[in-house]
Amino acid sequence: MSSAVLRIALFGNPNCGKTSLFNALTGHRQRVGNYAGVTVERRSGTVRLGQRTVEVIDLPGSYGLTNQSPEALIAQRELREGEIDALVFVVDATLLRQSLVHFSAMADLALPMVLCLNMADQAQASGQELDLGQLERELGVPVIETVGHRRLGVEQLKNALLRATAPRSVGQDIAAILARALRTPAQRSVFAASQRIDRIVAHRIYGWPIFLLLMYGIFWLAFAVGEIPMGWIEAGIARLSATIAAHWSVATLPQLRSLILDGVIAGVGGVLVFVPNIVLLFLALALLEDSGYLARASYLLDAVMQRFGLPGKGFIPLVTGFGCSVPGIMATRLLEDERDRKLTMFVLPLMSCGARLPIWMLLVPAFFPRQWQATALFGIYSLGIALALLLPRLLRRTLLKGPPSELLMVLPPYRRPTLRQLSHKVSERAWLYLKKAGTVILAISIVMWFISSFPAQLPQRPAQESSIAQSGRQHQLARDRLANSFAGKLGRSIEPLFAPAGYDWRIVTALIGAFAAKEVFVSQMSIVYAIDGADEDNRPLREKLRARYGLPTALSLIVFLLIATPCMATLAMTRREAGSWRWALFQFFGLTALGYVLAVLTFQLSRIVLGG
Amino acid sequence: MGLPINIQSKTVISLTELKPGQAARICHIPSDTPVGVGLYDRGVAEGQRVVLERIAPFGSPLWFRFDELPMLLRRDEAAAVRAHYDDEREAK
Ligand SMILES: Nc1nc2c(ncn2[C@@H]2O[C@H](COP(=O)(O)OP(=O)(O)O)[C@@H](O)[C@H]2O)c(=O)[nH]1
Repeated sequence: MSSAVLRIALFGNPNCGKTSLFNALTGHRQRVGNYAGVTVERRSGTVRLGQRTVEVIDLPGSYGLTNQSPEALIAQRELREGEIDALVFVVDATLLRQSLVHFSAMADLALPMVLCLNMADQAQASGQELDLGQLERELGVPVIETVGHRRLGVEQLKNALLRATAPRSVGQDIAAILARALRTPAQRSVFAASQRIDRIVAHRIYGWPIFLLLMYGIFWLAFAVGEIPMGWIEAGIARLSATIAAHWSVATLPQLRSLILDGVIAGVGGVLVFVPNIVLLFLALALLEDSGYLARASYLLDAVMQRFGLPGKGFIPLVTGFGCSVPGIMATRLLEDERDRKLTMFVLPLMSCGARLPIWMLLVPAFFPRQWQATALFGIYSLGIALALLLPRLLRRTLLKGPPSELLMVLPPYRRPTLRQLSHKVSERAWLYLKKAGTVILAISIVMWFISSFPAQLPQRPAQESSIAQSGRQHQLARDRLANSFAGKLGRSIEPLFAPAGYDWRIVTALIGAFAAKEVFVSQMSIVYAIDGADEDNRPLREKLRARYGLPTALSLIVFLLIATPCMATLAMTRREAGSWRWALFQFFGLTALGYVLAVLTFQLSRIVLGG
Repeated sequence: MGLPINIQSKTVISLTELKPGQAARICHIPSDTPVGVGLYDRGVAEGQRVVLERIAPFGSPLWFRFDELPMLLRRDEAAAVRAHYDDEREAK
């Protein structure tokens, strides 16, 4: 290879250890993004090679270049048009025969190439011995061995890149070439230990409790343990905002004060509180994925999920959605197929998330007699699940047409995940979330703040009053401010649109607020009804609601809040993971339209049935 | 790349006809279907030994080992792949 090398691409089968190798090569000098319009990740980084800095592109893993997956199409396009100067073909050294079937297609690209035999540690442990020199001579490219997750062989890889050459055309002879280079074939299968484990883990009966236990563990870790740091973050934000409020009098620049307190800090806080969930959840998911367990979960679940047009692994992001849709959407990358990822993402907000629980806690006791409350809550969750499972089939018949993806899932041997790899994955997820979702969420928070605080004069600090009178007055002020704000006006002006669903402008205004975060619905409702203590005891609010609205409105509202208007964090995350606003907006408006129609139907039908 | 096999003398079965624990040798992969292409791309070829390890609780997917490589195939995917028993006595 000449010294003019500028771009190197890594390509290989899924699970060959390519990502580990890429990380070993580039260290922390890497960028992660998305290919436009698809859920496929684009990774690039730089590495010092001799005297120059070279760009390394980690092409999406795919079984060869000729299949029709977006991964293969992207890899093909990058290799053909991406001005790649050299290619590192990464193969799993324990699966040489299976991986090298793609060698001649790689050779046809006529790019300078290095053949990298990763997992060399496992190949060696299996007793396999290769004559690398012989392989180099016959293939016409440098052949090196690496252990990606331990960063072994990286220097050899760099040196090999300096002498990379275009491979010889080997045609169909690759099996014979390999046979000649193989001094000793593997004596022990790398799968031997896994087979023993699988006898229990994939057992017809024991497999299920093991699976359920692991799932429970994940959600306990992510949402119960995550609760603790979440509390710290919330307390920290509250303290920060109290400190600013105390030192910044309402009299000076009140607009800016409100922007910072109610817009920026509230918005940033709303982004940050998710971080513990995301870190812990992705730690757990990385453990599942890197250990090799996830493929076994597919074995157990595929038949069930298939009935609903989703792959077995789709179960995991969906269940994550009960905690929060945002990590659920991020977890769709566990799925192999582009269409599966998009479908799962689409239906994820239908899983009733933790933020909607306060809403149900407000509405269900307000409108259902005690003995029906549990049933109502169960019904809400079931409706969400039912829709999440029914929609994928419908979408497959209409928008995302095409044959269902094949399973053909290669089961990797069980591996012990390394700390470095786990921390890399987790910090990458957290950082991506903060950077990409954070900016959008912050921007929308400010917009939401703006429309719910303007135009209105900010309240003057009232003269000394008794604290009860003062708090009552403040609530009234807040109510008037919201009522007169753009959000309030918007609520009033689209009130007729929601009349068929049984809502008045107060509900509509609160629904607008719920876009910022679902639980905001409760606080907005208490503001429009000027009531204290929305979080603690909302009995007064419940009573006011019961006095004002009938059961048909409540039912329709529940349906709407469950289905329609995914929150802005969900919108931002779908945009980021789907690689385009199109899918995110389709999700937003599609679910909103569905929620609207079902809410109207619920209201009208229940009015007939209940005679309201 | 298949081995020279006299198909007539052997019982040809589909992979779904294997019982857990049974082995066979692959004699036909439909090369013009997505499943066939997918299998070739994963390094599965005619002439390889295949073992059905186990079947998932609802009858799909099927857990095979192609030579060494464990792989899950849905029932309909496995149905298109043909094999014959390594040892004709296994057919009984
Ligand atoms: N034993 C061994 N494990 C490896 C090696 N390289 C990667 N791994 C592990 O193989 C699994 C898959 O690696 P990853 O880099 O995510 O593969 P990718 O799907 O090709 O990007 C991870 O659990 C890694 O820790 C290696 O050289 N030897």
